[in-house]
Amino acid sequence: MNVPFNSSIEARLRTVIVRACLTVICVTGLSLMVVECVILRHHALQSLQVRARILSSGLAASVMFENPEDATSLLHTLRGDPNTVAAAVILPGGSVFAEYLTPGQAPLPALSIGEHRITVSDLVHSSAILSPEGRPVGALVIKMSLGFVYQRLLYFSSITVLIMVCTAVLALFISHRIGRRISQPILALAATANRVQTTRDFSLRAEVSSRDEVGMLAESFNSMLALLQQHSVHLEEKVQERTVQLVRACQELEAFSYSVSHDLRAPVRTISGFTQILLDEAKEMTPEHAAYLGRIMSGVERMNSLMDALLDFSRVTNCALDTHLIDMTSLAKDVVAELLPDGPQPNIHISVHKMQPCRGDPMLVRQVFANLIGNALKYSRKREVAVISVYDERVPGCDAPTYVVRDNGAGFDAVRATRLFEVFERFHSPAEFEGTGVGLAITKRIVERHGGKIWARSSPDQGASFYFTLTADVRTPEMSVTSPMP
Amino acid sequence: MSRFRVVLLAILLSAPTSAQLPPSSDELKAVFLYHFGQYITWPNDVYSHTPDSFVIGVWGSHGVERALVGAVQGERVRGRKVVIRRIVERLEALQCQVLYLAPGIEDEAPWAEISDLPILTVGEGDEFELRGGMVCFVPLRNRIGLRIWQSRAAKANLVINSQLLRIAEVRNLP
Repeated sequence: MNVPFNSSIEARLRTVIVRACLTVICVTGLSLMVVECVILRHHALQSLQVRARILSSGLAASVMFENPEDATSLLHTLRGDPNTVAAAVILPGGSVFAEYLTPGQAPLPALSIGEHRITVSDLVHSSAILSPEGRPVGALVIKMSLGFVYQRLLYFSSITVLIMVCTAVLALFISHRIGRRISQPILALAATANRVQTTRDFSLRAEVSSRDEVGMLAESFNSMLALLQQHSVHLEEKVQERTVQLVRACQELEAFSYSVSHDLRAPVRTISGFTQILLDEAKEMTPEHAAYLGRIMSGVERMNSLMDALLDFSRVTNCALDTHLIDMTSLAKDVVAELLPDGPQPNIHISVHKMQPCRGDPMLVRQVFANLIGNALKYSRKREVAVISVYDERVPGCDAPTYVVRDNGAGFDAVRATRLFEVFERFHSPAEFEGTGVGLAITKRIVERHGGKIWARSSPDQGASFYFTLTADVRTPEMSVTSPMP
Repeated sequence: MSRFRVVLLAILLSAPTSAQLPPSSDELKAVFLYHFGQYITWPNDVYSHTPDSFVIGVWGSHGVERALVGAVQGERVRGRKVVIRRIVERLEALQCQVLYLAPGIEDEAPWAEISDLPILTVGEGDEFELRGGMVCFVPLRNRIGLRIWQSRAAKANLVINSQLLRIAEVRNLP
């Protein structure tokens, strides 16, 4: 029984019920017709045998006293039954003693006594004519037309078809009502589930209209909604609590950062000032002591740089974004011009290619380019010719460009690349390359505040490439990539 | 019934064919005489002298007698052996269950004695019927018909089967 599974439950129930009813009636009707046919034939044979037995006693005297007229008149009493179409009394020698034939009937075939022959259209039976002493004196052959059987079957099948039609209509009506009664709670449950999904309102509840499986399902659904509602409220409270904690922590950290930067400046200035006085006014100072004081001064300068960097980092973290459409090519060129105030130099080759514009805070994005190009200049200055390229790439399937700053400098071990963007993290000693270790952390923070990502590819002494995007929907590779520079 | 007799009976009852002559009048009468035994009931005391025999007496017709002997000698009626007896004297006639009187014998028959006895008298002709015969063979087109004087048979305590009465012409006059 192929009921389409994409149709509604009501339609499927209706189809199943109607088909089941029709199948049952059809099978029952056919079975009854077959049984009726067999029974009718059996009854026909039985009635023929009884009729033959009744006639035989009278026919025996006719045969025994040689009275064929009487036998013929006896046989003609069969006219009362329209189904009996022929009869004959056959003598033991095979001759016909008396005969009754309705119009169009051929003479009856010779049958052995007790034999009967059933064809599609008729039934022929032969029985013995017995004398009062019980001796056979002849045979009575009667032929019965089975037309009445088929008429009865036709009548029966007509009634069956009529019952089938009535039952189909009734089944359709009943199945429609049953289907609606079964499907409505399910549809109501589905509607509630949809409403919950759309509105995210876990306070909604499904109506429990029955105590059956659907009712149990609705109750389970409601219990699940109650649980979700409880979890949702709890989660909301938790988020609010954590947000408050986080904001407070950020404010404290910012205050701490400012206080450290500002409050440390006074003692550092004291150290710097008095060290300078010592250097200027001390008359009897050995060169060794002067060197010590020089080292104190350089330490003070370094501490000042670190405090400036920390202030910058704090500012980048907390300042509001003022976004505009930025001409990235011009911005990068301006940064290069600032970094090389004396103009192009023979041992530095910087190429800024034409790049797509992008939305962002111009001041902060300028800081990104300044840090990345500045690092490129710093780490490639030991090369005979520093080659630095600034350009953009297009990742297939993404509209936003990926900006790249590439150099042929010292590079770094890609295994440690994940730590590259952490605060105060440095891969080279200050003696090799100066710096505070805060620049890339600031760069990463700026990029992330724009919703973008930053990553790097490098290997030691093979140069480095820094990639960044300024939108969130950019496909980016893993941060640690060991492939060498192309 | 022996095989030979069944075949003979079948021949007697069969319609004539080109290779087979129709049964003669005597042969038919002989068979009818035998059949009467099956359609007529005699009172039980009639068999007191000859309890195992059913006696058919033939008076005055050798043809019928021969046919009877040939057809039913040794047969049984109602469990009794059929005995064919040629009747030549009046008293012999009183020992039969069926008595066939050939035409012309009516004057010799002991009508007064047998009128109250359970003896089925069979004959033919007007004289036979006038004298008080019970079953009369009547020529009817190409066959032999029966005329039964039922009241006479009833007077002799003979009960005639309705099937036999149905195929016969029944008279109820005394």
